[in-house]
Amino acid sequence: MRIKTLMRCSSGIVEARESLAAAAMRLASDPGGCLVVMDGGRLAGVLTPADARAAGPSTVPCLAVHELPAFTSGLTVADAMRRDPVIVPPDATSSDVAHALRTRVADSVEVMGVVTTTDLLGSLVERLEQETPPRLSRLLVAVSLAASPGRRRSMHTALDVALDITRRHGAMLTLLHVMRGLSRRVAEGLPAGVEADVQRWRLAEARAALARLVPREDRSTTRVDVRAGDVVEGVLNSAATTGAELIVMGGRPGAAVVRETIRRAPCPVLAT
Amino acid sequence: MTRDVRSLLRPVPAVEPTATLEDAEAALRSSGGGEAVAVVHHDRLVGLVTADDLAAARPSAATTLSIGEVRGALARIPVESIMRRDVATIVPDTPIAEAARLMRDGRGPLAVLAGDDLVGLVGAAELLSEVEREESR
Repeated sequence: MRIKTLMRCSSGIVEARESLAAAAMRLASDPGGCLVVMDGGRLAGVLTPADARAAGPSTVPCLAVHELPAFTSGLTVADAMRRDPVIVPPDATSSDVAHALRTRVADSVEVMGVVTTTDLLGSLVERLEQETPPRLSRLLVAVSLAASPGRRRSMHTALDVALDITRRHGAMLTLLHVMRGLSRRVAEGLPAGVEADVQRWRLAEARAALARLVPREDRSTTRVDVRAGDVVEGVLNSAATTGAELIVMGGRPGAAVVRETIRRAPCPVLAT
Repeated sequence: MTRDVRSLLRPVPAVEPTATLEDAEAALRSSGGGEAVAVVHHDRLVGLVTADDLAAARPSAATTLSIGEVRGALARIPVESIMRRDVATIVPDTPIAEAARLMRDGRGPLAVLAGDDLVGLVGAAELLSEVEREESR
């Protein structure tokens, strides 16, 4: 890949005599960024957030107290900039640039843009992802147990879809059921009141029913989760604790529960 | 085939949390151009100090301390006081693409752990050599 397709043409330019504090503020919004430093129309160097940090006051308080604010505010970009940036022609390949960055050999001049390590890593990510698409590693499927024949059908579809994706990606699947009538303390295994025995029995029954839904060959990659309370809350909490990257659920995309989950989920939701 | 970060691993310079900034700088230099020093206590990774962190800890040109006083301070201040505690960790099986993604998003350098054991660090230099390799194929 030619570097001209990667470079940032609109990268910021600062004058060498400008205040370092002001330049650092501009860099703060872009941690992977880099400013081009010009001095009288000529390239003088570059300034990265790390350079600004290195030249600024010490990060250790007991050393920073010995730095006079009057002087630190007088620091200029020229005090902090890297004077020997790696310079490459726009036709250089990213491989050339990576090599130059590692070994720091510079060549001739006219500023057309800036390429940072972050940009190169971004291009590496893209290329690797084309070769091997990113895999999902954790999925969550929400199913309802006590349901009408129609709901059961859509639940089985959701489960089949989730199991299929899980197998293809070599992922782990969490099979979740949210019970409205269940005490939260019982679901979380905490001490509970008089009704607790009945509730515990219902919880165990739900877990067993969930486990029966999983085909034998998928048992090692599937775990069951039963939660109490509101369905949407339960799905979102389970997705957060298991780190789910995809939520699969039965139901039309327009259904209230599905819509609410899509709105609040930390990851994509697949409604079947 | 998905390649993992195993092929990128290099030995990691490590210091104790009580080691001084001077010790950390020496460890970094002796590692030959590494980006970071691991801070290890009882064989467990507790933090990371990068070359940039060490540079940022040094006083600016506006300091009133003499060179000798700065040197003395660097030989006294423990790395514990400047180390990053929230180190992004990966395993040897982590695909290179995932490591590059974390680095691109500014989460690096990455500590590579096998169980509790630190087996390497992956930083920009390791991944740049991967950019070189990929392109020249």
